[in-house]
Amino acid sequence: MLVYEIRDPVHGFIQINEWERQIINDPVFQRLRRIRQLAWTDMVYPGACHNRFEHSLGVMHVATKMFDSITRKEGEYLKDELNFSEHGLDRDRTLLRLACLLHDVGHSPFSHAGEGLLLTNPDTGKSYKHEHYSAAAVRYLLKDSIENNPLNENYHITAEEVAQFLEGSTARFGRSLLWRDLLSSQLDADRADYLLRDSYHCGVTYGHYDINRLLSTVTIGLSDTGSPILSVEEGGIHVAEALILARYQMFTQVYFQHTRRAYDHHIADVLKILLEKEQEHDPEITIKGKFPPPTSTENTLKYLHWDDWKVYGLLSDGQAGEPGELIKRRNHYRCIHQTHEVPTKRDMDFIDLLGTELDRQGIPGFMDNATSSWYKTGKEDILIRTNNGVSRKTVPLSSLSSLIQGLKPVMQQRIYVPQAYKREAKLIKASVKGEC
Amino acid sequence: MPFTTNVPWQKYGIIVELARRLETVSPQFGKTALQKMVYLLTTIYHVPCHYEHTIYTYGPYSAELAEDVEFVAAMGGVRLTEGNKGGYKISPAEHADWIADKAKDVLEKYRGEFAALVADFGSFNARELELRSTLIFLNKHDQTNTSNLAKELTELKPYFTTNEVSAVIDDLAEKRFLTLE
Repeated sequence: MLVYEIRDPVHGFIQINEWERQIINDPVFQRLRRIRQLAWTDMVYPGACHNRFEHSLGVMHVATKMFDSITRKEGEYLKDELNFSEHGLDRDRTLLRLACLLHDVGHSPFSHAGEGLLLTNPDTGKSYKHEHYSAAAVRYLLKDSIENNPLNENYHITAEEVAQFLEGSTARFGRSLLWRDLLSSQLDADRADYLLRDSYHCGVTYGHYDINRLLSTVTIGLSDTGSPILSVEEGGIHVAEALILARYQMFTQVYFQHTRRAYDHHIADVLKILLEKEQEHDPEITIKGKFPPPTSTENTLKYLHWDDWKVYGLLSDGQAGEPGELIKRRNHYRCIHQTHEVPTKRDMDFIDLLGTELDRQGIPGFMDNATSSWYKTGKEDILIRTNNGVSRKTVPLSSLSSLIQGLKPVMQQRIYVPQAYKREAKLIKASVKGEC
Repeated sequence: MPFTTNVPWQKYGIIVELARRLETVSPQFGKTALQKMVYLLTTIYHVPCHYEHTIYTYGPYSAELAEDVEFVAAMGGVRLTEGNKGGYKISPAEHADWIADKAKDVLEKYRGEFAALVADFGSFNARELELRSTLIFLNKHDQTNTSNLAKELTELKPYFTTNEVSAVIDDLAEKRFLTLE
């Protein structure tokens, strides 16, 4: 089997086989070169111009390392207690690699900044997320690349399986569902990669942790109900702490940085304007200004037709109205008030009052809430397998680490107004404060 | 109204309400039980909780809900204390009334559904809730045949005995929480 190597700035060489190479060469995957990982974060951190293409390769690489570490150490347990077979594990590894490689193919332009333009799923009453579009792209557009490669003859992996693994919409995987933790959990390869990659490109050191220690201590424990679950050996407590702190610091210093958040808001406005213009004469799209739902091949193609390049072109042509001009001139809205990271009831009451008064006086702008951001960070926990590997019992890291115990989730709220209204809004704030 | 706060009070109110109602009923209302209760409240009683649960070996789970309980705790809506059975116990805290008041419309509208959930599932421990919610997930997404449902469950969770699984399927079917062929 031919093996190819791709040089990656974070992990060194990433190996892929011919089958994965064929999928990577598919236009659906190549589009990820044109989706920026952190939208317009380069307005604050100029190095942050990386894309979802390199991140997706990184996630596949890290997940494989985690999988190999676990199966090397826990092979006996997996086979004797959980009834895995050698061939089954080989197939699981292959499926996991494909799912990780493809987990982000459904991102909208500028990644999470565009997620506010996704419709509500009538089945759940919640907005679609990029994961639903990733599953749709796999299901409708990558069937041939996935199913008809000679390397699949031993596995018979279907596109539908990969899509369902991404969605978590079926338990038909049986015991193999265990590996979904490596794709999506508090200890998954996604965050293990993006923390290192985002910090590398932003030029900050907040997102650093010892990935080699994490890879050597990741294991299988048992949850409080006796279910197998991804966890960390007792010896890895400090790398687990570091991972949580890395995400907390990346959130406060990068993802929720006040100027960066203003640009997320402006990008969403730009996309809405551009979508409305394009969809104006499309009779098949009834809800204008939103991306079509991921429910058919046609809709998925229409959705994937949008990427950063297309938006840049329209924006450069002056098609994106006032929000587009704000971005071109780097004249974003300014933050005139923010609560504490963990707001008190008094903070929350004040920002409500201030918002009402700004509305009453006709000041334009918006309110931003950390808990509604995709990058929100609650207080996180990782399960630690105690007793030095004698039993599989796990306990939450927060019950062992006073550092993690003391962390609070970030719930900061902010008010932004256009530059021209900054002075007036600050005067209103002072008067509201005086009344409180 | 551009400056309207977009705090999801409705979701936070649901967490507080469950903590209030289950504090004295549940063997230990912790994070696992919360996950399963919200899944059941959505799926069986059709309360719009606005969480999307996906399936893991440990049953239906929503990462967003796991984060939200921490937000509610930080606001003083619930208290998370180490339980005597391991893990955390969730109970109402000093600002529970304040948060519930912000979600009063939905809590009042679905008062009957909350009561039914507590009556039907409130006394189960986390393990029992995990088994029941996983069966309901399997039934909703994959299987409508009794023997396949049992087989798929034991494939996913071999540590549950066949007898235990069959008894729970019968019980859930009798209460019409499962749709079986």
